Amino acid sequence: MKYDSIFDVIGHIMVGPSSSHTAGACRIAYVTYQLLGDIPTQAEIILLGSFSETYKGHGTDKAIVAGLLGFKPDDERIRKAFFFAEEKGMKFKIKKGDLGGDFHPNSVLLHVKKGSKKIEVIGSSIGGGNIIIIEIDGYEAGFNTDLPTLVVVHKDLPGIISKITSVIAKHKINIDSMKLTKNIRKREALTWIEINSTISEELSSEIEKLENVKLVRVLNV
Amino acid sequence: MFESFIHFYDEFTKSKIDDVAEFIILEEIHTTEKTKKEILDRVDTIYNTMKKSLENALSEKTILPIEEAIGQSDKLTSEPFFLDKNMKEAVYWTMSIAEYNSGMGVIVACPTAGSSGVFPAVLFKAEEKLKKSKEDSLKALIVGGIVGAIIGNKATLSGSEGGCQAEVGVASAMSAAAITYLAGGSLNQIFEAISLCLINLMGLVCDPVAGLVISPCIKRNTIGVMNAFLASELALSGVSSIIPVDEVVAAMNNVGKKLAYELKETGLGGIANTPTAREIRKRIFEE
Repeated sequence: MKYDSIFDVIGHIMVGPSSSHTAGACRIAYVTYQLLGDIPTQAEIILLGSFSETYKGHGTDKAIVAGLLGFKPDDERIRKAFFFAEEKGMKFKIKKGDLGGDFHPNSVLLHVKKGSKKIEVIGSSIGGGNIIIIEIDGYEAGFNTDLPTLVVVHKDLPGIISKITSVIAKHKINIDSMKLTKNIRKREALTWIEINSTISEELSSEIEKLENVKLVRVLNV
Repeated sequence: MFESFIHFYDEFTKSKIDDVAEFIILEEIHTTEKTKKEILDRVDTIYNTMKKSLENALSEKTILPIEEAIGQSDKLTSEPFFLDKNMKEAVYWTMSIAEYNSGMGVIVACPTAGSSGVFPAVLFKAEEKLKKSKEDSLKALIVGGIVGAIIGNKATLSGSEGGCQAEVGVASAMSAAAITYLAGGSLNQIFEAISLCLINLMGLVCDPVAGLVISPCIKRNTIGVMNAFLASELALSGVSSIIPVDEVVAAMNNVGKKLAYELKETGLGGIANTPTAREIRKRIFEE
């Protein structure tokens, strides 16, 4: 089920004109900003499907640039996103693309980097400002960021999940849902964990300190 | 979340709670683990944001990339010819909010931004006309919310997947449900209002000129408002849609799937593909 709460339908306060093309697009980019952990210095924005047909009219381009700058979908600055991108030193390219896969009509592929940090995200805007993060760096994801989400990249070794979950349990937090995807070749895995309460910095830094954990990100949208 | 309207009906009947909104709040507490206060506070924020969007929309001048579309709502402050004063004002409100949204103003998507003018215009007008309190309206908002969620799970709330019937059509159905509740209608009457709304706008395509949420979107919000008042009036008078609401939603979903790609928010078909629309597109994007 896509909508679990009345607020999935009437809860999105946002800048118009289109919940899917403006707000949802901004949200995917905002998640990408949180995953990178910084404002990128370079961004490649590849628009797919309906996004590529009508992005100018809906301000999809501005919304995505705004999200990468760390602006949320209800931020009045979205309409001036290009100005702020220049001010904050973010270079971006917008292209039309086709991944050939079975993607939702409103999808975007984002390649962003800053220094040695880089990340690649595919996200779909499924209507009403709701999104699904489809892929992160080639790992299948599938979460929607309606709840605070913890994303952990770690070595694919026995026992590592129990170490992560025991840190969460120690903080007396109940996990809502979680999923692990492996990259066999790199012997790494990406785990995402949805939690029905705020994720503290203390919790994320404790997980970051665990052996064989490579990256921890907290997504709050 | 309820799997269907009939599931919602059965659970409500079993619960022995007499107020539909109170019953929905309990379901919301159950599924989201939030407290009643947290839920009501959030509904209050939504209501206040809708009010503020309307106030801003009526007072600010909205700049739109299609010149011809600027300031059209202001023409509706004139004396009515056919509608009564209240209905004309509701239409004025919805057009103003829809224009404000198109100009990148802050709104509440309900269910989407493109259809965000419908619900507040219908709700605030019904509240005023029925002399209801804000507390009553907050409950009506909750009823509207659950209707959107059930339809969204069974069909879609995205114009790119289901056409405008999924946006203005659903906004209209959510509003009709909310005001039928506000007027004291039964759950059956609420369901009839939803069915009538969706049936009357079934097949509505999404064909934005130049891909912009301006034309015909802003005016489609007005039919969403009139359709909601009409459907609610019919339902409260005892008129039946004949077809049960879950079947109507399934039909709407099928129709949405059958709509051509050009008619689902791509800006390539329907009104968007008329000679004038093509000219507007050229003017905007080739400048």
